[in-house]
Amino acid sequence: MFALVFRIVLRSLITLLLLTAVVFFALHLTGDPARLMLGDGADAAALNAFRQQWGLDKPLWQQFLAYLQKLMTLDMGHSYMTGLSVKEVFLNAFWPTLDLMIPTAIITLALGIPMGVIAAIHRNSTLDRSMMFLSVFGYAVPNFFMGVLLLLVFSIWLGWLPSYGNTSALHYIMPIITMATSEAAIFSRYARSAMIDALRLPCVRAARMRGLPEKRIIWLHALPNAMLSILTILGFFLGTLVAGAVITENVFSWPGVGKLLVQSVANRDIPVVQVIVLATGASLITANLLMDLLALVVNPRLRRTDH
Amino acid sequence: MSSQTLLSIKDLRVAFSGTEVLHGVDLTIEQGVIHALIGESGSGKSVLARSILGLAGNHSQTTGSIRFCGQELINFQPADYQKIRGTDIAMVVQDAMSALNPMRTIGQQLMETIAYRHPLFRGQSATQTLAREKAKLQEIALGLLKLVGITAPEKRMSAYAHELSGGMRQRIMIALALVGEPKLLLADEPTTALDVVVQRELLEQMREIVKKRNMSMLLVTHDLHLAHDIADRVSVMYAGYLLEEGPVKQVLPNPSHPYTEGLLEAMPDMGSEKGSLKPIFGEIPPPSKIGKGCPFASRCDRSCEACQYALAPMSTLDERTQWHSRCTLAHSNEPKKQREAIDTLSEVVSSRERTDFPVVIDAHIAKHCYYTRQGFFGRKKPWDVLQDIDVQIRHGEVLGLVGESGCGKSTLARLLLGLQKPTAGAIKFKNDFYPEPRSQSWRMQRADTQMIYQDPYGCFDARMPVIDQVAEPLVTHLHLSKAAAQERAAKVLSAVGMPKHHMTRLPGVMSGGQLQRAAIARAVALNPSLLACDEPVASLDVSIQAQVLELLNNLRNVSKMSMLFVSHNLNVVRYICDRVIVMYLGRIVEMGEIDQVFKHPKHPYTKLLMASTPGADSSIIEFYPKGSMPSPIDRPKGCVFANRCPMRSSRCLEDNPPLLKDENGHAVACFSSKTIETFINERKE
Repeated sequence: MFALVFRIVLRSLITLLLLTAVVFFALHLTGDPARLMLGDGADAAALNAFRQQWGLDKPLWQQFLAYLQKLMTLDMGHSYMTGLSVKEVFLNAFWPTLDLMIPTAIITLALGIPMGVIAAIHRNSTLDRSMMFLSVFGYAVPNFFMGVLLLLVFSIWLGWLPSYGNTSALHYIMPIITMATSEAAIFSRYARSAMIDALRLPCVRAARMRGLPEKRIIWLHALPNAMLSILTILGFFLGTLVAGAVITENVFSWPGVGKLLVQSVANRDIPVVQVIVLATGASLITANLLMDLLALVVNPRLRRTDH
Repeated sequence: MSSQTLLSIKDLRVAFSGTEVLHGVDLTIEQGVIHALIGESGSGKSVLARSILGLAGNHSQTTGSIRFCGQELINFQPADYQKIRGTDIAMVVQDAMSALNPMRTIGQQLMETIAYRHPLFRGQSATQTLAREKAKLQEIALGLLKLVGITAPEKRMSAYAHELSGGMRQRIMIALALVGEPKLLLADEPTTALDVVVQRELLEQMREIVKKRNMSMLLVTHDLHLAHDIADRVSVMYAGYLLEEGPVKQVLPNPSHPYTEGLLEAMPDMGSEKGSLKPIFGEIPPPSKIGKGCPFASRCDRSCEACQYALAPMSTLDERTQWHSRCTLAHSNEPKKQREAIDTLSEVVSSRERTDFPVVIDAHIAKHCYYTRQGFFGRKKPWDVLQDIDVQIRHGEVLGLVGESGCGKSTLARLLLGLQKPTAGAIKFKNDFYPEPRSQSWRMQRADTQMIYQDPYGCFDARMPVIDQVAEPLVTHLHLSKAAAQERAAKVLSAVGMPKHHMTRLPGVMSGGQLQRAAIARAVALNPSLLACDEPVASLDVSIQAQVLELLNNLRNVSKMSMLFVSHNLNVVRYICDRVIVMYLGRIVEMGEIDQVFKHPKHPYTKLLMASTPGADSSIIEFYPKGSMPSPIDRPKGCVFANRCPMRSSRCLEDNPPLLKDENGHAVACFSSKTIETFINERKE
């Protein structure tokens, strides 16, 4: 058991290291940061000074090792643009994003999974069809359109809700609705097909053959089996939360990671972009790691160690 | 036999979206009777069993009458059905492998079923029972586990389904069915997925329980021998009609309906001579093609013109025993219609009368290992699948390989074909060692060894016409042009009895029997020296099974091809093979000519296998200690069979008996020189 957990964690760490390397080298392929920052007209002395300042004159692999070393101590360098510590810049954006994403995730799951499960139980009924219609609708409307629509109605026409920033509770309503509708739509689809598969399992049929009441069959026999496959999707969903919703944050001018990412890319602020990409990847890896561990806990078939 | 009627089905018709699959079935089951329902796949036997509990399917329309204890079930609402399921009528199905919830322990599933279904707790709130009466529930659960023959029941209560063997899971399913102390047990092929020894043990136990509790059982099966061993009465179904019904003791030795007779003659038993099987030609017609006449007429060699137009009603043959049949022509001496024999085989496969290689395969395998990951860094730990195997396959010989699942017979077949290299040992094919697997020379040689698998659907690409798949290896190995390959493929396919218009079909729309013929055609089109058949008839219906066996038999006679025949079905092996190897836990326990091994078996395991085969005399089984095959990962130190052997001595637990040949070439690995019969007789005295 311990060995299994160890192997899973080790695998995640290796993936993380590979990700760091890929991000580092790929971003350095995009061009010489000194020239990008100082412009084409910059003279050689200025370029050299810039390179020396940021350690860009050394061979790439040395830069990578130095970068890794710093990363270990959570020193992520300084923004080329502002000169501020990247850690600070990132965290300033990270907390608002998390503030927004946690309620979004909760609402998404609380809405999407029950919807899917209910639809599966009443498969092919009017209820199922209307729910799945809603789901397709929710998914098909793009976030930028949904966001702008909400802004138009609630901020501009009705004037009930503030249109940008994150200073009060009212500010949270529209971004959350924007994101939760499309995410919950996806989840209800997954939950529905997982539950339909679970309801078809021979063990569920056997339980019905034994005359157990339908409620118990659904809650204790079908749902746990359906949750196993929902868990995998859940890992991916939770992993993408940190990256924020680039579009939604920009529509509502939310000072989060998504907005920071767009800014930094536009400004070629490589250290910041690097950290955001890395953080996105790391959160995906962590979320998957957590789901793998959770699967060990909830799925008896994975728990054994002897084979 | 009490004559109280428990279940009475009258004119039951079941249709799925307009297509009728049961055409007015009448069936009566009396209290305390085991009633076997026999039929091939597509006969509607499962639909009949399921309709009793309202489980025929979501889109089924059921009409007629099903009376159970005087109560009409046909108009039941879902809530009514739920009340009788598991209490008055319980059901056990075939796939016990997945019929237990993998997420919950055996104890949890048993206890919840007891809380809802046990007579003691009926009428009480089950959730409260579950919360308050833990001890009582546990006690009942343990009692049930013991009743169905589970060893160490306390330990199993906290186990999950995946931790148990197939036999144990099926026992637990039976325990679950018995919870409500039902009056009627519906058992739909309850032992089909199990090994013969376990199957026999389990069926005897079910019979015992059913008789002791004065319950009734409807046993749905395709195996006539099994019905003969277990059941009191038998009904034979075909294409949604009941054709014959009566007491087992009268019907099975001496059937009245030609179909029942055909089934019996198509099934090899311990006395069948080679070439004596009479396959029923053709296949069961689909429900949409059934007209007014006898559904069996198209395959019946005694059918007359009247059979085409009308189906005869049930006529009574014996009033006292209630033996009915729709037809009594089974033993009539009318001249049979001559069928076109499949005798064009000789045109497509060349005979190898003379050969430079009297021994095709000469294998000495010291051991073959598989690996499990273990420990902190997942080190691989080897375990032996096979040990000390010396096998020769002679030219033109059919070598049988029998043993229960997990004994390594499929692994051995793969090694003998050169698909894998043994961990220690060497295999010579035609006097040369097999080349390294996946190497160029290995690839070149593949055409000379071919294989047929159990599941024909699994070994054909679902999106490519059958004839193209038969032609493909001809292009690769024999370097034929596309057109020439197609031509030869068509020739071979028709030689194995496939009609022209079937050849261009996709595998998915063909029947299992047709597709298995195509698999055989694909293999023999290359004229291999060695053909390995891994359970080639295990997934086929009885009548189709005989067709395929006869095809293989003809093939052997015509081509003198050497064959390796892997099967768990002793009757089939006995019927088709020249020599046989009996394996247990990766070792050969007995080896010899078919007649030597089957007429004078020496090893106690061989005896057990034979006694467990449906239709055989099972009296010696009770002298065997209960147990199962040990895990090959934890091999016992001494004889592999010691834990189940009635004759074991202290020596058997210490040393491995060597495989010793007598002067006639009959080899056995056992320390004891006594036969099991003398041992039993001594013990009786």
